[in-house]
Amino acid sequence: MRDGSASISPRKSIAPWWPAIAWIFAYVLLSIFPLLVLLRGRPRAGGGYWWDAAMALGFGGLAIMGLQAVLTSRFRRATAPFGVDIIYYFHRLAAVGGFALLAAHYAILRVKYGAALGPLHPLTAPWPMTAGRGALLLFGILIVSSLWRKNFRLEYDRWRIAHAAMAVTAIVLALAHIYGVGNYTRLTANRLVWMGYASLWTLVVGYVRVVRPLTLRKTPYRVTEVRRERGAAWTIAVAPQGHAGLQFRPGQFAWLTLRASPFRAKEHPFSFSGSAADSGALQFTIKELGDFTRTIKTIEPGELAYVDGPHGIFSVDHHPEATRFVFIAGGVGIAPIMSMLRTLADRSDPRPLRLVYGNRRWDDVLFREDIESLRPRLHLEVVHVLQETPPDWNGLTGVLSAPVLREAIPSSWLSATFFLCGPKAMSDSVQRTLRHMGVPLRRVQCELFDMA
Amino acid sequence: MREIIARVVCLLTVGAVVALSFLFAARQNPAAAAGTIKSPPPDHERGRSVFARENCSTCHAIAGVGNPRASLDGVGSRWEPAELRAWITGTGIAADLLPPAIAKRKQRYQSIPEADLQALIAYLSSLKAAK
Repeated sequence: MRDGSASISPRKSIAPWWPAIAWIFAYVLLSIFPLLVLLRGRPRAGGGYWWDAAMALGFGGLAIMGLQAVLTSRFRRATAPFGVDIIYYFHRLAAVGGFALLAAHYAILRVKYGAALGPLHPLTAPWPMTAGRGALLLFGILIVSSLWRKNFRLEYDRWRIAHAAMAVTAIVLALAHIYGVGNYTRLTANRLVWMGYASLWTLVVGYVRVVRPLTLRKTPYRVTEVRRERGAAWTIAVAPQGHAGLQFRPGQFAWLTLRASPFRAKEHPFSFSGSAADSGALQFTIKELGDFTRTIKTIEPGELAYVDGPHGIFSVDHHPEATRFVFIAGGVGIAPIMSMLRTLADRSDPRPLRLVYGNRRWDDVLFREDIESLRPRLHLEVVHVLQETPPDWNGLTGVLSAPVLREAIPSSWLSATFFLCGPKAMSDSVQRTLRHMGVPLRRVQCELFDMA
Repeated sequence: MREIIARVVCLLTVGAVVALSFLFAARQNPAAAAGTIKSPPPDHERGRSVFARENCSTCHAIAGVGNPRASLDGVGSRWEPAELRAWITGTGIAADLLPPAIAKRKQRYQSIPEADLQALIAYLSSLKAAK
């Protein structure tokens, strides 16, 4: 997919927060819009304070749940100001928030108007009630199976299919519930609102599941190389077939589909590891960590691939005002940073750079030689940190703990812009340490790898 | 940093929904003096059990129990027994005044056995408004 706005040189720094504010405002407005319509209507004889409150909470909760599909649709214009990784983080938060509202809706009715809920049994209860209970149950299962997916050892691809199926079913049941219960949908304005939401939701799902895969299919890529790297990692290079490919900013990532049609949603996010200034094939470097990544070594040159990208704001190009950079990488977190280093080298960027790179063993240090070969072309200092040190080691040992970081980052570097990439636990603790060292949060960029 | 903003936005959204919900509830239900409703007489057991069996509470409340959107308190003062029958079965005056979907739903109550229907009507007729 081509992103005409991305160019090889860093873009001018516009006030980056203005589009973000606008999108946040749009989200909040869409979440509360059904309630605003309710409030706008003539006050009719109320059904009781708690009854009406429960109804409104239900509407608000469902609006939030419906918008979840819009959040994960990866519309680049909407996600670009934030970075799509944080959108997935927000998606999880919003799920809990929306569910809390729906649970409150049900709890209030159960406690104060239990008789109105009627029988529980699906065969004897009025169908709108069964639909509502079904929706609530499915939303609960959705959240539990997602937040604790790894604890339950749910395999990613199967979990994803189930997630989509349950989400669609829950939304449809919830809309049926609203329609069937009918108290408020007699009002024309209200009915229009919910028809509007249902249409928007259907359009978004249709775009994500049909339109975008069709577009991806028109811009295929072929694998040109599968190269073994240090540390149980592989670099895959893919070249565009019959189209101009895409431009990316160093540090960005894309969803890569291998050995599947784009319709099957078997895509996985990987960082570009090559130079953004290189107009050749796109390179992804992938560590063997999970179900899918273990199959990477079986990929052969010539195989078909699809690339949905670029995404993310984890890039030096988003911070052209920076005077120096510190990159802190743990394990495969080096991949996007490698892209940034290679790109800066190709541009002969004169700014001072420091890389603090934590790994378990010296032999497994991914890109060890490539980093060395970049040093003559950049003002780059490299600090390796190892957990298991070879006999003649006189560098830093251990993990990227506070004492290690304080030694690795002299005070003259605290004015730098920091890029962190690695496992979440490492990333969280490094952020805390940097804060204690006096680095303001806005100069610390972090990519959330763990999106699902 | 972005995670903090995400949490704030989520709290803001949920908070806005909660606030607007209670604002709506307050607007719809201004603190008005509700007259005391005479509680239904202790008999009419058969009518009561028909009411329960047919799950009328899902749409109607009596003395605060059930769906408050269509309260039946005092309904015996508002309608004659023949009219109550029409209301229960979605015919006659009810067919004219109710939204079509609801009138249609009520027509299933035409299959209630006649004796039960009469007991239900008698029960509802006993729900008089307070003077």
